Amino acid sequence: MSDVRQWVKTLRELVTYSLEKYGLPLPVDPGVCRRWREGLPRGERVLYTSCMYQLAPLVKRAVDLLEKSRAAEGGAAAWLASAGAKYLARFLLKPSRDEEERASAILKNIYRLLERSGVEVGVLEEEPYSGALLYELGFEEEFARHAGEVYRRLKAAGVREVVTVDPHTHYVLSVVYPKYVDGFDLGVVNYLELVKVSRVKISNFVIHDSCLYSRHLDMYHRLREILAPGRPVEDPYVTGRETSGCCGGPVEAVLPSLAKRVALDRLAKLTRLSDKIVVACPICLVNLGGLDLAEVVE
Amino acid sequence: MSWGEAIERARLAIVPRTYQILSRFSYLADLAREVRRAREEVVKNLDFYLGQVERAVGDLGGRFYLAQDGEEAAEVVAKVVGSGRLVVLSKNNVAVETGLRRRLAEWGNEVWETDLGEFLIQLSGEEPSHLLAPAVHMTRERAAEVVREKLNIAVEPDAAYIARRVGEFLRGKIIKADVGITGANAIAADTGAVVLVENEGNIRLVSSLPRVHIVYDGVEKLMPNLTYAFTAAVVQSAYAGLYPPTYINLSAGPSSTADVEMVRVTPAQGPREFHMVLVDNGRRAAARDPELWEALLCVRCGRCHMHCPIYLTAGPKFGVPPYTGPMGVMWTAITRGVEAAGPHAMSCTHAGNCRLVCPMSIDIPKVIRAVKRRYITEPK
Repeated sequence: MSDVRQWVKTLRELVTYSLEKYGLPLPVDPGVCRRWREGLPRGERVLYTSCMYQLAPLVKRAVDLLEKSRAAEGGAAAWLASAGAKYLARFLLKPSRDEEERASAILKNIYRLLERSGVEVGVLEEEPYSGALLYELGFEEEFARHAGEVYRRLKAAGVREVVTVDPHTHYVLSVVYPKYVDGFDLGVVNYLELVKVSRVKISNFVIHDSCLYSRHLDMYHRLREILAPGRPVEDPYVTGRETSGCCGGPVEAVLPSLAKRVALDRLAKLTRLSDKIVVACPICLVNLGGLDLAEVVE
Repeated sequence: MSWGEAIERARLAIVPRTYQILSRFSYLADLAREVRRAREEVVKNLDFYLGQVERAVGDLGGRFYLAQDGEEAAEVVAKVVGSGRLVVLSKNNVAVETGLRRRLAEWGNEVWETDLGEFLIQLSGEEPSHLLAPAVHMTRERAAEVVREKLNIAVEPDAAYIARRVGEFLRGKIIKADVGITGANAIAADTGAVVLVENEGNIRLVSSLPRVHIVYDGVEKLMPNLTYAFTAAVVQSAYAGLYPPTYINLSAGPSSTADVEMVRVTPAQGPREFHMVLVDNGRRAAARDPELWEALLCVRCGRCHMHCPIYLTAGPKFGVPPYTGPMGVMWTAITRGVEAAGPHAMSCTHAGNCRLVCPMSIDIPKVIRAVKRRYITEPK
């Protein structure tokens, strides 16, 4: 663990460099984030994705790449000293075609679901990244600066309310921004609070709750209300609000092997209940991925 | 058997039982809130309560010591004990924190842990993996093997059998012991009375049979008075999933009697000496820290461990023993500093289960976030 601090500093370099160059926390072509919303109208109330669905698979890829190059260049300490972030930043990461299509389909589904629920919502021409990763890695100063800039850009675009689509963005905007951004006055609502659902396509699935939705944002019951028609399988010691586990995603960038073990432990518990797992978070989707996982809107 | 299998067995035993207790005895949640208020009062005025308990212990005919760090604390006890003595300990996380057992052994004493779990840890030379169940990582087969190998006592791989045979061995030691060292679940600052919760029955023996009783714990165990101290012990046992506990003990000074002319004299049949050693070791600084202070409210029930996805996967490597798990990351920061706790804080996913199940409603993820921030932003 002695290299953890150095590793996190390397990540900080990568994230701040990428934010500066691409407006995203990883070196990714911002076009990837835009494609799904081409042709959709603007508005004062906007669907705000923070590009999380497109970025989530790339965190893992960035870490894999960092790890591989570190191993290739002969030892952690030597490699870390040689500015690994700049090395990585030479690459432009891209989600695979399948990943991008899936992310687009999820976001379009959310948009359509809101429309069908009678919720008018627009999109942004340019959507800034929320800064959630900076906050989660513990770089609060950088986060505060970035959050202030995001707020200024949203205001300049005439936004009054944002509709978030993932727990990480919703948490930072609704809970953290007001503490770090003076005069923060945007409305923040999550799509799960707005949609009306009468039918669920699958049944006898198990819900893997997002830690943020269920325990930090008090949305554990809301997700169950939405999914009730599909009769999810519950076990008080696997899917309870206080007893369910994490997917490991939040430490994926810092301690990938631990993240993997946490994910495997979680999967072992979930698959005892059902082989159909429903998630409501892009990071859970990636970290528990590989089995029969479905996003809640799929 | 792997850590994962061992801890899952334990989780499925203790978690449902704790929920049943809390649901059946609904007053416990109210008591927990009262204890939180009382503990907040103590943490915010720690030096005042330390002064109070020092006077109270003196009034009881005991000796009080405030040790700045672990080394000083172990030194104080080593001087009280001397050398060539038989010393018995009840399970005591502060003793592990400060290396007390090793120190006493270095002074030429025979030292035995009397809590079954801690005894297994002592025999095996391993590190404790949980605050209350230090040998939770050991299966019954491994426990039997340890007893067989280290004590040359044949035991079956059966929990009850192991408990009985180890109990017989330890009882022989406790009866002959010169000094008994216990911790404290709570200490009433106004009277110096110490409240101790247990199930095995070893603590009442350790605290009453030897002629010297030493209470050795952290300064944060103070409560304003005996009612609160007792309530804290009740709450601790309930949220640990063992309620009612088999025993709650109270020790207030050396043994005494007032049977002749109603004049209270010491000693009587129990210990003739009573010493209280309270350890600071970062606690008073934490009490003044705007972010770490809340960790001092912890009643050591160990409930957060069994709900934490990182502890359940990483085991005792999450935190530094004896302080493992979510509370352990906070307490590693208090007792060993941010430099030691930081790498563990980086493992936290902020899942938030710990905050929901904590009887003191400590915002553990928030405290760990502060440790994380300091670790990565403050110079080494």
